[in-house]
Order: sequence, then structure tokens, then C-alpha cells
Amino acid sequence: MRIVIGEDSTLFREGLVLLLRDAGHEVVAAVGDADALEAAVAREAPDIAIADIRMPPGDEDAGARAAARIRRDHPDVAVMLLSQHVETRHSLDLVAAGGFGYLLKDRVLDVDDFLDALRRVAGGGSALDPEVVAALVGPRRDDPLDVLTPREREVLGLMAEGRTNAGIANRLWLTDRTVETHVSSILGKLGIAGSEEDHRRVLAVLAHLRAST
Amino acid sequence: MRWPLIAAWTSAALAAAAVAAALVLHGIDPDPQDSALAIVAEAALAAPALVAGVAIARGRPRNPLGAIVAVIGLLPAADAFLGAWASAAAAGEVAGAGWAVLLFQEDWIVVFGALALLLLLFPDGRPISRRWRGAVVLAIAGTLATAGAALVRDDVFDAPYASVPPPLGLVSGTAADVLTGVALLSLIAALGLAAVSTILRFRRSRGVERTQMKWLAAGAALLPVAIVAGTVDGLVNDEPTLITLIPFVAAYVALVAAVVVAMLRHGLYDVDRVISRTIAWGALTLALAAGAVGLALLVADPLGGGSTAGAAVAAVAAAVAFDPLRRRLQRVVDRRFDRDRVRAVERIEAFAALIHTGEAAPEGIEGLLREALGDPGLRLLVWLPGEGAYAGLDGGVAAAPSPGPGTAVTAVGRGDAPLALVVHDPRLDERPALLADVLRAAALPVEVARLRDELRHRLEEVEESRARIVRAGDEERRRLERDLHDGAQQRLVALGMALRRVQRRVAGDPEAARALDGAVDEVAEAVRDLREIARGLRPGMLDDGLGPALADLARRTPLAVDVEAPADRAPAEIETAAYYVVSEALANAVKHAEATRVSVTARRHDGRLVVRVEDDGRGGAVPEPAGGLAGLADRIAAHGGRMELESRPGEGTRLEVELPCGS
Repeated sequence: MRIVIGEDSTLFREGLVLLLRDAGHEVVAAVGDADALEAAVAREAPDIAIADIRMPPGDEDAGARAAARIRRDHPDVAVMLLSQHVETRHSLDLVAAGGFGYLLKDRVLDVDDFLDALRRVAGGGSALDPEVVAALVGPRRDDPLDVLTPREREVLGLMAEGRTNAGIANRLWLTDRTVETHVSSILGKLGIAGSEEDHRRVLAVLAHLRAST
Repeated sequence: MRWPLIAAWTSAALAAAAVAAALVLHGIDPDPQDSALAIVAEAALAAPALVAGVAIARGRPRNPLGAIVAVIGLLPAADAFLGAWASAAAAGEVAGAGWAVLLFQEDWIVVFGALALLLLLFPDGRPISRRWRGAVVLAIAGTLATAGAALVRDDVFDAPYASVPPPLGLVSGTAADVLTGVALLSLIAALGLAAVSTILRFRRSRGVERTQMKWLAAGAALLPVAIVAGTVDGLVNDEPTLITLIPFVAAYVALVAAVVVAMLRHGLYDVDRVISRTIAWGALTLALAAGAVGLALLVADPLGGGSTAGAAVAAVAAAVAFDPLRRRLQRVVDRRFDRDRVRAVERIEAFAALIHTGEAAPEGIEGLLREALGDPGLRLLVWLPGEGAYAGLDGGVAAAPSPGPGTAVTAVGRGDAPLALVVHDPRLDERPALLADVLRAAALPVEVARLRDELRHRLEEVEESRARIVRAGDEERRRLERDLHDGAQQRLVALGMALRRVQRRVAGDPEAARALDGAVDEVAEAVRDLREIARGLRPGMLDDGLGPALADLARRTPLAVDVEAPADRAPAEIETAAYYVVSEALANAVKHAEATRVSVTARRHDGRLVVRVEDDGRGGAVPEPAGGLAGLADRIAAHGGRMELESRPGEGTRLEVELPCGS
């Protein structure tokens, strides 16, 4: 994959560049602020852009806003947004649209999982950090998820993270077939129209969760 | 030179000439009717009004009053001259006996004309309105007509000049009486109008003019005494004696002096006090005289008729008997004639009593002073030692006021450390006794109001500084959170990535790879720990709003927590405070309350954020002085909010907090 990185912490940026190159990817640009990131994306037309939420200029959420613009102006470029702690306000709309991921930075340390998520997002799928999913799937008043069994909740969480049925099966030490059964049961109980495409499924799940928040 | 000044000086010169001529005529007269002493006495009588007239005309050169007063002064001198001329001419020493006697007998008319003009034109030299010009014309015309009628009559002169023929003698009998009657009536009408005009002018007057009118009243206050004395004298004696003369001279001098003071120095003395003292003195004198006469009749008779000792005993007894009445009389007169001062002081004292019983707020003293002193623009500035500045009772700190055009400043309280300053209309300075007495009576309410104001200022300061401290604390937490995220956490993640790269290099060594896995897990754990610490400092979810932050908090709480939060945002510091409230309440529910279910609701209501946390635990929670709830209460108070804790044993705990949102 051809990758552009926007990250203001030099230490983290250089580490990421090396890690991605070791994994055989081509890092075509690694820059330290949101404006340079957008320029690099426009210039290089990469497969995916990795962006820190907090970046100059402004140091607040320039990275997140740049990510939204990239998704709008360059639909072919997928975006993986990273942050130090969970921030939900920017990520949910973008995740639901596909070609977008949002992870905490330390997920990078689980290298294989991280690379898998990158691949998924670059392929038009989604990736949503388990912390964010937990915030969405957590207990609430009149919890619509009360109808699910604990195992179904678990599966739903992994669906919301953007994982494929195979990925979920792998995670939970289940067979693909069992996962399929759980998924159709969940979609049935929540009244969500099923879909073959994974990211559409994520979209439906997220839309459902947010609507009931 | 303006004409009033010319006229005043001319009157003075004429008076001097008249006195000199009178003395010369007296010298050549073999059988003078009056003694030289009488002429000197009349000259002395002329002097005060002449001096006053010139002084007024010099001070107010456009005002005809100077000339009028000077003419009043000219009259005694002229009368002395005419008397001496008539006497000398009757004796055949000089010519013009007829004219001399006629003028000598009729010169009194001018006094009444001058008096009418004085009253009509005092104090500004103009009648009170255009229509009253007619009264001025009537006064002049009436005087001239009366004088003219006297000149043309053919009456026989009074003794001792009955033998001198009138110089003109044109009109006689009924025609003369009708002429004189009409002329006199017009003069009397002019005098009546003058009296009415004076009363009207007094009623309409304000400020300086009112003070001037009061001076006139003070001067006129002795006239009734003089009239009563003259009447009594007329009843007792055949000829006027000193009993008539002294009160009249005193009244005349007092009137002239009062006019001068009113015209030139009205602000010098407190006219209200002068009036009340004069009236009290006059009334007391009359009462004493009456008492002495009565006692003399009672005491002197048994002692053997008209003895000096009897009269002396009567006088002393009367003085002793009436002395205790003096204070009472003075107070009654004060009350009557210095009403506004007495009433103002009484109002202030009544207000002070209400403060004493807690029925009035001392801050009302400013409004009361405005009413009592009749100055709606009056401002009371109290001294706040803590601020080192003066402040209005409405809270605003004010610069030290300085007297200028349109404002005067009077201090309340002790010399170098005044309690307060009163900024007022400079016209109040013309009534120093009123101002001093009212402010003395107001000192206690002012002091109480000042103390309360100072307390309020101190409290505001403390509240502001508390809010600042809380804000600074929040700011510091935010900074620490950033530092953790951007510093240590990033470095740890970078370290983990470096370890992963090393791991790739040692792919052929399973033991090393496993060890590195363990190291990376440790690093990841450290990053998670740091994230938790940072969240404890300040939850990053608050950036997303109170709702997401509370939902996140609820998820981390090992209890069933229902959360309801508004979608719209409140100011960040208010959301932060609300978050800590819920956080503390949830922690208590977990730790102490043995609750199974907690409901958290945050609602916007009337510009406030109302946060309520209810659990179904055992209740009985009591805020400890240094506990989490007390800390919360401080934080809430710093934002101007309010906290309510209800926790009866067995009935769960309900914590409700209201925070102002500013919108």
C-alpha cells in the first residue's frame, strides 16, 4: 500500500514509518501538520492516509477535520485516524461511511491487528476502536441491547469494530458458521437489514446504536 | 456707572448736605423747634440705610434696590433738614416758610412708596412677572399722587406752623378730600400688592432666592414687636417714648441689615437659625414684658405704689419665672420656623431606629438623605479600607470625588478618616446647620451601610478568587492531561514500536521473541495506565460533551447506571463541575451506599444546569468537612451554584446540584 502519514510527534511518526516499511508498505510522505497532510494526499494520491486527531495548526482537532475533508475531496483515499484517548465526536459519522478507521495509538503495538485494520480500511471497510465500541455498547437506560445474549453482545462489539465474520471467528475461537448464526440472530433481534458487505453492516449497527443513544 | 449706583451715591451726598444744612440752619435759628441732638440722631438713623444702599448698589450695580434703600436712608436726613428749614423760616431767618413746612409735614409719604418698591422688587430688582410691573407703576404713581395731593391742598398746617400759609393752596374742601383719598387708596393698594407679591415670591422661590426671601423675613420679624411696643406706648403715654423708638429703630436696622445680607452675603449665615432665634427672642421679650408689667402691678401695689424696689423685684421674678420657658419656646419656634431641618433630623432618627430593630435596610439611607435634604442628585460614597477607595452603595467603586461646578462634597464622620462622603448640590452649603445636623443624625446608618458594603465587597473578592482558584485547578489538570498524552504516552508507544521492530529482527529466536512480547505488553499496560491517570485528571470525553462523558463514566461504574443528559453544550467549566459531581456521587454509591441502581439526570432549566443523582442504597450519607462532597460543594459554590443532599437512612441518597449556565 502507498501510505501518507500526518503525525506531529516525531518519535511516533518515525516509529510508524519504520514499522510500516518493515511490513512492506510504501510510506510516500510523513508530515507533521494537517495542512501538509492534505497537500501530501492531493499530491501523492495514496491508498490510505494515517492522521493524528490532534495536530497543528491549532493543536485541537485539526487532524480530524483534515481527515473529514480528505474523505470528501478524495473518496479513493481511505483514512485511519489515531488518537491518545477516546474521542467520539469526530469519528462516528466517518466510520459509518466506510473507508475510514479510528483507533487508539497504542493499538499499533499489536502489529498484526493494526496492519489488518489498515488493509480493511484501505479496501473500503471500517475499523473502530474497541474502547469506542464499548462506549456505544455500554449499559444505558432502556438498553435496546438487553434483548441480546452476552455472547451476541460480544459479537456485536466486534462487528462494530469493523471486523469480518472470519475475523470475529478468529477472535472468539468460534467457527465461521457459529458466527454467522450469531450475526443473523443479532440483526434479526435488532431489526437491522443484513448485508453482505462488512462495512455496510457496520454502518447499520452503528446507526442503530446511535439512534438509540 | 450704572444708575442705581449713581442714585445711591447721590442720596448719600444729598443726605450729608442735608444734615450739614440742617445744622447751619439750626445755628442761625433763634428759637429752633428741634435740638441739635435730634438732628444728629436723625443723621445717625440715616446712616445705616445709606451705607447699605451704597453697598448693595456697588455689589449689584444693575439692581435698583441699592438706590431704593439709599433713598430710604436719605429721608431722615432730609426730614432733619426740612424741620430745621421750617423752624428757621417760620422765625423769619430764611425764606420759603410755606414750602418748608409743607415738605416737612408730608415727607413720610416717600417712605411708604420706597417700602412698596422694595417689597415688589426684592431681591432681583424685577417684579415677579411682567404683569406685576403694573404694581410697580402703581407704587410710584400712588406715591406721586399722594404727595401731589398734599402739595395742592389748602389745609392749615399743624402746630406750631398754623400761621404759615400753604404755598399753593389750589384745592380745598370736599374736592381736596376726594383727591387725597383716591391718591392714598392707590398707595395703600400698592402696599397691599407688594405684600401679596412678597408672599407669592416666597412660595415660588427655590435655592438662593428662597434663602434671600428668608433673610427678608428674618429682618421683618422684629416689626410686629415694634408695632406692639408702639401701640402699648401710645396707650400708656401721651408722647412717643423710647418704648416706641427703640423697637422701631431696631426693626428698621434689622430690616436694612437683612436686605444687605440677603443681597450680598446670603450664604454666610444659616438664615433658618437666624429667623427662629429672632422670633424666639422677640416672642420671649414680649412675654417677659407682659409678665413684668403684671407682676409689677401685683407686687408693687402692696409694697407702696410705684417704688423702684418693687419694679426691680417684679422684673427679677418675671425673668426667673420665664427662664424655664425659654428652652421650650425655642424648641417650639425651631419646630415652626426651621421645620425642614427638624423634620429631616427626625426622619433620619426614625430610620436609624428602624435599622436598630431590623425593620429597614441601612442602604436606604442614601435615598432618605436625598429626600430629607431635597437633593435628588445626592450621592453617598462610603470608604472601603480594603479597597482603599470610595464606593457607592450600589457596589461600584468610585474615584474620590472633588468639588466642582454643580457639586459640593461634605464628609460624614471624623476628620481625617471620614466614614463617607456626600456629593450634593452646592446650594445645600447655604444651609450648613441643616446639612450638619442631618449628617450627624445619619452617621450611624451610614456606618452600618458602609460596613455591610465593605463586607459585600470582601465576599465578592473571596468568591471571585475562589472561582479563579477552581479555574486555575481545572486549567492545570487539563495541562497535565495534555502533557501525559503528548509526552510520556507517545514515548511509550514509540518505545513499544521499537521493540516490535527488534522482535522482527530476532524472528529466529523464539525465546527472545517471547520476552519482547512480554515487554511490549508491559509497555501497552503502562500506556493504558497513563490513559486512566489522565482521565482521572480530566476526562477527555468532556471534549465531546457532558452526555458522552457521563455515559462513559456510567460504563466504568460497576453498577446499573441510567444516564440522561442534554444534547446541547454548556460552558466547559460548568460541564466539568457537573461531571465531577456525578463522578463523586457514583463513587459514593459504589463505596458506601450498597446501591444497586443509580439514575443520573442532567437537564437544562431556566439558564441553569440541574444535575440529579439518585441511588437506591441505604442512605444516611453525611458530608464530612474534608470529604469529597465538601470539596464538591466548594467547587459548585465557586461557580455560583447550589447543592442539596437528601439522604435519610433507608431511603437512598439524592444529590441535586444547580449550576448557572449563563444562557
